[in-house]
Amino acid sequence: MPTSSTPESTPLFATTRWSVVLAARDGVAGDAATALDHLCRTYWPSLYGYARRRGYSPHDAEDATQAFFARLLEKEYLQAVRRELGPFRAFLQMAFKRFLAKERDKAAALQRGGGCTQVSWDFPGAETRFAQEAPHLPADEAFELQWAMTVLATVMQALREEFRAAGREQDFEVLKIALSTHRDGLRYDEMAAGIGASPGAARVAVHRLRKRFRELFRNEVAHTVAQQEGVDEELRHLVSVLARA
Amino acid sequence: MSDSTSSSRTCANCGAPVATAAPEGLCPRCVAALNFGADTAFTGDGHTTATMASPTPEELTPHFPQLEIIECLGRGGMGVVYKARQKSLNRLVALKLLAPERANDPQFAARFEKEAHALAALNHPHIVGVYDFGQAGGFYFLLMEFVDGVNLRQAMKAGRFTPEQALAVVPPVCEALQFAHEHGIVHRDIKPENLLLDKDGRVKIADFGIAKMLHAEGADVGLAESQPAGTPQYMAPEQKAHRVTDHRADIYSLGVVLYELLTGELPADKLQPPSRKVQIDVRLDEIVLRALETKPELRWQTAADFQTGVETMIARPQTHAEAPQRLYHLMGYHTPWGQRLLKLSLIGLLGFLGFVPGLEFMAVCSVFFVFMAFASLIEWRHRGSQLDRSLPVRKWWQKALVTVIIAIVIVIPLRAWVLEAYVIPVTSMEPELPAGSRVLVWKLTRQFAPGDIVAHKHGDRTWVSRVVREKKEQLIVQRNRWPEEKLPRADVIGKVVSVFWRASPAPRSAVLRAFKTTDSPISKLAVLDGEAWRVDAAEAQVVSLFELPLPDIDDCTITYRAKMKSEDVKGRAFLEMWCRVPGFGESFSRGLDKTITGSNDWATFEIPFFLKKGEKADHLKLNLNVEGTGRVWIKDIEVIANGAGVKP
Repeated sequence: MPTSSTPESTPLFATTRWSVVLAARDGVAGDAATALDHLCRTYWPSLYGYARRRGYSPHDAEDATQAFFARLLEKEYLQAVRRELGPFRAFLQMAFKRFLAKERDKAAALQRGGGCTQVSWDFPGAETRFAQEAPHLPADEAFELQWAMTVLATVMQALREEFRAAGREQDFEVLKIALSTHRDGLRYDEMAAGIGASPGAARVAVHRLRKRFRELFRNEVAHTVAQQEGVDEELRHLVSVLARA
Repeated sequence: MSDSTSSSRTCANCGAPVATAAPEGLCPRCVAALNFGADTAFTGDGHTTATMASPTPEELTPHFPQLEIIECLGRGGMGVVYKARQKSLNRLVALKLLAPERANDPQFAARFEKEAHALAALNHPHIVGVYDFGQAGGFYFLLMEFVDGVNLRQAMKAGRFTPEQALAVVPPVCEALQFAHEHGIVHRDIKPENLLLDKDGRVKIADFGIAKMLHAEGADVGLAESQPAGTPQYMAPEQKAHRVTDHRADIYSLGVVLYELLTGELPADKLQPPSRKVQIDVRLDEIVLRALETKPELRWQTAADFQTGVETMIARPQTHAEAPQRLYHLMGYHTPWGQRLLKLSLIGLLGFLGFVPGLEFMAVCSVFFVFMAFASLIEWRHRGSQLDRSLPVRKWWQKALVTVIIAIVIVIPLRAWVLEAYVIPVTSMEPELPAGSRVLVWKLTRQFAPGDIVAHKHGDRTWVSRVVREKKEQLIVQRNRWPEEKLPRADVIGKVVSVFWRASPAPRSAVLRAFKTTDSPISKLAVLDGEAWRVDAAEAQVVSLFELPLPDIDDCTITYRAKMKSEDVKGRAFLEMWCRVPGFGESFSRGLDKTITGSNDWATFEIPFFLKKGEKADHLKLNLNVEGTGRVWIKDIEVIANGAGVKP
């Protein structure tokens, strides 16, 4: 994959969120807290889906997910993480499983929100998605699929934002089909008409879109791994999960 | 997540349904495959051929007057497929339009014709047949057999394949591949989408050679098409690396398909044997992993070899080697260490039950339970990550109980008729078989040779004797120091075949010295008076009687024993013994717990001296200690050694 060593991804790496969190895991505050908070806000649907798949009711799954993140931000969960443990995804999944096991044992009602600030997460939206997912998937696979889809959605959103910032959101609507269609199947002439440019310009635009998508995807993945070397591995993992989608 | 507005529909690229939650409404599979699975290099403005939309059936009708085009079945990287009816023969056919943008490429035309000729010659029940090909209305087309069914991808989505079903797919595919390879045609794009299952469950390979048609090496097809033919996840490593590929690339791809059918996953970079992921015959690992070898020369060399491998497995679904594996899985032990410990516990159980005499084996069962518990613990630890830890523990007692019952069912008949362990209760076969030794008796032997040791009933106990002669109705046997005996055959239990635990011989005793009246005491105070020596004491004194060197003994008790009588003894009279151990010095032993005072008749007195192992005493002094005036007689003086270190 020629994408695996693009030079522009290297400087970004120094401040990836997961590595920041890990670097500061003795006391999560400041940048690290922000970084962790950001990661949590992005990836909580995977945990919600996992809890639902494990048989929690929507209400209980909500409570469990919120309580888990509250603990994650407050407590010393992160100190148990060793740097070589791998991507954020693996850490979160493992920690959540342990959390659920403990909570189940306690059988105590969870305090909604706990001591932390209530976050406005879109639980109904997550529930809708859960209901639409393939119901035969085991919880672990569902988690991974949801995760990969979240990465994909985050990247798509970022891509759309970039187009919007450039005042070309309409172009994105036209061009995005190129991300999922083999070039043999692309109708450049139609696209050209859609964005009001020549077929040649449409080709260039598609090429740039794909390139940018790859970069953004790679960056997003890089934010969830601790070390540079982990990016390719995590990338491959996500691609293989999506390939089974 | 962003606008997930569109309702459920299918992906234009792969034909699969797109989930409503898919980001931007794009098929995630295709996004991942297109943007990471392969390089998406820029095709460039200079590449002028315009791509066209898939023509509708109506648009095609004028170009194919011989066909009634019914519907578009799908569009893939290789072209568009339509379902059609061939009017002349009134049969359903599949019409495949290839690469419309290549219509004006003469090199493609030549390659297309060459390949299509070869494909048309491929007449095989498991290959989608090519009826016709050509160029019409600017399209290169292939007219093919219409397969009414689903492809393997769709079948996999509909439900997980059992290992048996997965294996059943392989032989026909191999057969077809072998056939094609022999005709010099390599598929180069074997994947679930290209393996079709018709309504009767028959497998047919589609799109043979089309990958090559579209992506021939050396052809001037521009940067965009220099990517290797095939689908990245299923491609052989040499194919991905643009190296020379041959028919063995198809074998690799089929290996990936089989792996996916068995495990539901694509092989990861760090290849895990399928049996690690799902419960299947471990022999399958070898077959699958061999197909997935990175180096072509290490793979199955022909599709026929692969087929033979799989068919051998199907034909012999169970061998002894796999039976335990099955058993372990059945019992819920999946980790190698769990299984090893379990093996230990089972071997231990069977072994001990067979080897332990009497009912002691009940106690030995605890060994089994301990190993079983360890196995469960390992299993439990392993399952920690999967959160169903309670399962192995909850089942532990059930498993243990079932195992004990099975073992007892096996062992009781074994012990009753074949092999049983006994404890030898008597000393009659010493020194070969000390009392307390445990022996195994083989009960099936009926012919005995002189010298054999047999176990036999004697009253309600089991004895052992040595065979002297064999007679028709009886055995003549002998035990140590006993005369020959006649032993009815009915009393014979069997032949002693093994002494698996030898008891240490019973403590022995030997009289080291018995002093007679001819021996003269050291002290002049002791004078012979009939059978005894008499000591007339005028004051308290120690009378030295005898000294003797000791033989080379240790680990025993030396006893100084004598009979004494007294007359008007003031104070006490008692025996005293001094023993010299080189390196340790001299020690004494006095009989203060049993003394003689006043006037008494004959009584026996004895004092012990304990020698530990390694304490080799070499010299002994025997005294008579009198504390006051009086007269003491002493006779029958003996020195006796008792213990394991005493030689007979």
